[in-house]
Amino acid sequence: MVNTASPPMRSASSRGFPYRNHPTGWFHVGWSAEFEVGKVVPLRYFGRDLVAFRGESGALSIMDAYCPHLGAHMGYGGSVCGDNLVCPFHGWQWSADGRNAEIPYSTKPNRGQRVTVWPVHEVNGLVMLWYDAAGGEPTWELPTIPGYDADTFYPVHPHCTGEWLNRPVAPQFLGENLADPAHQKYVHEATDVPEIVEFSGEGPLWHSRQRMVWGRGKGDTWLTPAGGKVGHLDIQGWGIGIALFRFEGIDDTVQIQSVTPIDDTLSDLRMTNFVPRHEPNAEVPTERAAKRIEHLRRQVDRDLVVWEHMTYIARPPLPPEEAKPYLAYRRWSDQFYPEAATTPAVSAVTGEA
Amino acid sequence: MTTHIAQVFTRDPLIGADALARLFSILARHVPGAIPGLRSPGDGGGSARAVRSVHGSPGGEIFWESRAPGRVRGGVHPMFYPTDTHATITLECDAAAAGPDGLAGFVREVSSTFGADFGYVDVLPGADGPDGEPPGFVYLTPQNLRAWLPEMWWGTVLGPAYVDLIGGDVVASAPAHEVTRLGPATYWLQLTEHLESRPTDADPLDLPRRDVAEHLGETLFWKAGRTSFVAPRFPVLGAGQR
Repeated sequence: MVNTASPPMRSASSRGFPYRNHPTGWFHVGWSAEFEVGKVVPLRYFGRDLVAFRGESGALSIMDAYCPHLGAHMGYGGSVCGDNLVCPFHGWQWSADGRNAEIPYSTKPNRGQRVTVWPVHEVNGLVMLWYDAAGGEPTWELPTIPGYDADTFYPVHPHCTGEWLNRPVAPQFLGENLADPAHQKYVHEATDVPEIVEFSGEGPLWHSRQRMVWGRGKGDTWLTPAGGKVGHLDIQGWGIGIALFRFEGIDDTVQIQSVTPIDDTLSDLRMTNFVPRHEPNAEVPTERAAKRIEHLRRQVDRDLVVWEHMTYIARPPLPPEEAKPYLAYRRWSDQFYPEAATTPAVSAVTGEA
Repeated sequence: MTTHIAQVFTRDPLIGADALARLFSILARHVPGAIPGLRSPGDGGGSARAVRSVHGSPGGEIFWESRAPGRVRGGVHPMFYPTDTHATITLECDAAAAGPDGLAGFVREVSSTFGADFGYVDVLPGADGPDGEPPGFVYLTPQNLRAWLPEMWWGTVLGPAYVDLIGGDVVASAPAHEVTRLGPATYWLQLTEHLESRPTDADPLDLPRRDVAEHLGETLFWKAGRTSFVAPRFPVLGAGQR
């Protein structure tokens, strides 16, 4: 019997990736709809045990999980009182900004005790957590997708999403896809290798455009009913863990993919599709929209087959056609890794293939 | 009535009758109303009721307290486990019991006598309740120091662990009202002239606290939204006798 190897449960650095720290930036830890008012949710990301809760005011907080009093994990059995998190062990309350607010069997709180509070931002229906190995605060904000606030799209959660949890994947593996048009043919069954027509990295934003002929040579398909169609795949990378795709020329769907490290080895992958509503007030995508989302889920499955088993080639033998964007992406992405900060960070790169 | 608070984290394990005798003689010099007395009435020798914990002599904790006016709460936590890094001394007195500069003098002398890595003196605001109790208390543990400092206090002792980490020149040049060298690699930083003579604006010490914290290094101090901090690696002395 063939012993089929499982995905390597090894850290990215032991798979050849040159950096040990997680990159700095915003990372997707769930959808806003999953964090209801009064609900306490245990999380684990970046090797830290965390607890999320939404207070009665609607504000979402994420903190280190362990109560400084006697060490209970507040994500298991904890509750919410007003805007405070209540420890399940002795009822100590912690305010949203991490201060001890009440000790129920004492007349007063301990003003010296604090819990570490993580920066959180809710945007486009996603809950984003800021990570910086040095503990720094956010240095950029994520943009709102045009139309998101105007009910242009179906509600994203749960029907327009996908998630692949506890996978041996690093954020960089997703990130490098943004500068890699060739994999579209071999991983995603594009007829041709798309042409990358522009790419740039400035500050936290990577932008590239690939010229596509959607459905070329495939006749009339459900996705391209009038045959092959010229368009572009417009890509934005916000830091390393978040990528935004617009499929121009095919439909107006916008997709966000994310990879969020749990620890040095595993990450959670999530996909969020912003699919235009076919009817006003429709809550659940049907027919073509539902098919489109399923199609996009399959594409992530295809990426995962590679990402879960790959080793990372730090000095790849790239042919000239892919060297410029690929190496530009790597130079740009260096700025997010603390170990690379000792060398001059490239904050802006641009070029044409 | 305001409440004066102080804590000192010493490298001396504070184990044994001699250490405690020296500690309480320092307390008697600076805050005579705060020394613990015996539990039996009429014994004299102190104004506060003392309770020794059941952890055992001579390494056990001592707590003592008295009611307002002249309200005092004190505690001595000797090193207990072999993994302990510090013994702690905690004192909370209403202003009448503390005197204007009593706690500052006590913390400074204790810090140099017993080798402090950290200590603080401050005032809890708004202690105007009918029972004279402040709206909160402060009790830090060595585990807190391994993670962060909560804030700059009106008076702060930075001992060798912090001076090595921050740099002696940086500590010595902090923009505080007073910076005094208490001993080898040990400094007292004081934000205003007197503990009780601060301006009456809301959070009057905000600016000097922020200035000094920024000078020493903001990553030393807890702040909501900051997820990693810089803290000394305190040596484990193995002095606890459990």
